[in-house]
Amino acid sequence: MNHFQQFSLDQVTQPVEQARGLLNEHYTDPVLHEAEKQHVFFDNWMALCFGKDAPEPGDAMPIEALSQPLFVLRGRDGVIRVFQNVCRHRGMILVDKKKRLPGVVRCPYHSWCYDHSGALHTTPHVGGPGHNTHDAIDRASLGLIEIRSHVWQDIVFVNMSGAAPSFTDYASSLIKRWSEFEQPFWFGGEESAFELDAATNWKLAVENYCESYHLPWVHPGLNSYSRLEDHYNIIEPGCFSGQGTLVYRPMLSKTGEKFDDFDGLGEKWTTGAEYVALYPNVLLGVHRDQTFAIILVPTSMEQTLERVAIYYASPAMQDASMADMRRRNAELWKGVFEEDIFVVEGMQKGRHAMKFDGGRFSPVMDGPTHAFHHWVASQFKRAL
Amino acid sequence: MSANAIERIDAELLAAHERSDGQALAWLYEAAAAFKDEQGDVDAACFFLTQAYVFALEAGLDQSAALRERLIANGREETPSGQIAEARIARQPAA
Repeated sequence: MNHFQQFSLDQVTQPVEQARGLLNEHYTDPVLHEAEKQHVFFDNWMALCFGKDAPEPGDAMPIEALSQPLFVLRGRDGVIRVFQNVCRHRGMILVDKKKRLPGVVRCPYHSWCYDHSGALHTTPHVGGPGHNTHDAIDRASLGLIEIRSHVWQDIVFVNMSGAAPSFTDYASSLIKRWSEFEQPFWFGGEESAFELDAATNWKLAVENYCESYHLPWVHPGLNSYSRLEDHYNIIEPGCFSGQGTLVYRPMLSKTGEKFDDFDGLGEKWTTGAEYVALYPNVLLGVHRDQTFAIILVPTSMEQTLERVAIYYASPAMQDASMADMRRRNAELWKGVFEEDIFVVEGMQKGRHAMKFDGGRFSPVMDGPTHAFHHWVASQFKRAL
Repeated sequence: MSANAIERIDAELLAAHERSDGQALAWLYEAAAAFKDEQGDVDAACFFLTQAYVFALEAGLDQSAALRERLIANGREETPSGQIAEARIARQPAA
């Protein structure tokens, strides 16, 4: 990190009135992208996937997380664990596709086998043909490398470095803020999940999601009932930021049916809803009758996959009779999120403008976006 | 076990590998181990038992426990506590 970069980070962490945004290099420079992997993602709690991706015991799914080969496994005990996806023998990839494992995890190369807790179970022929032991091979020290993980709201978070505070400490303020939603919820099924691919750096998707300033310009359809003045900023420095609305209206079918509400919510949620980015890479929304999460997968420095999943408040909402409403609801959200694509892609193109200086923030409207920039800059400064 | 039977096991093993049929592989390798046992070739029997054991483990088959016991009894596999049974026999010399 040179003096110029230090100076630019200091500019980002100024109060919002004086701050500039992260410089272009944070969106376009492969060197900074590599540094970002460590300081922003691996040192913190990054969202990896959904629990619903491995719904049954034995379900395994490989994931390339910023070039790190991992796999998620829901063990026979129902617990989700995340492992480095390589055999301790010769480093072969263990799980090459999504599958259900009725028994052990077997390396396809020399068949070293691991149980669902990651323990090395057998090492065939390791001491010669038909001899499955050797004094030099201590199975107890050769289990799979487990990655520290935590599941919250069906999102599997990982801390690759293993050095971050516990997830419940890190996200305590959001868990507390939304404590009324700490109750059972149900994934809406295949019509309640979709993906969007955008030619943008992942941070621009966060920045756009955080603020309501753009709503009347980019989402005029929403503006007809959800006016800009009906929104408020949400800022928790160092953890999350976003926006809330005071005028959420649950979806009704043509015959007046609606989704069930979560139990016991306070009055705030009768017409309120909130949307926040939990740093670094998950975008969340909560409403009286549904929640959703968007996991941002940085597939490259200038490409981001947005994985969306919608959850409902009762198992009855999973019924086939609700499929049409679930589908229409997902289409509604997809339409809104697609309206944002040209913005995040346009800003990414704009980050190649050599004289762009990181830009400025509206002290009134852009506080949540600045809070995110501040957090990212702080991760780099912490590593200096 | 006749030579024809061995040839049939060989062919079925190849076919089972081709279709990644772990259950069939476990049973076929166990049958091959039985043939080597009949011939008194313990090392070859343990090779096939190991193959059977691995595929039984992968397929989650109950027979894996019995296969493990047989390997332990021959000193070829760790006990659940990580020990090697006293019946252990000499390992193959290093290549």
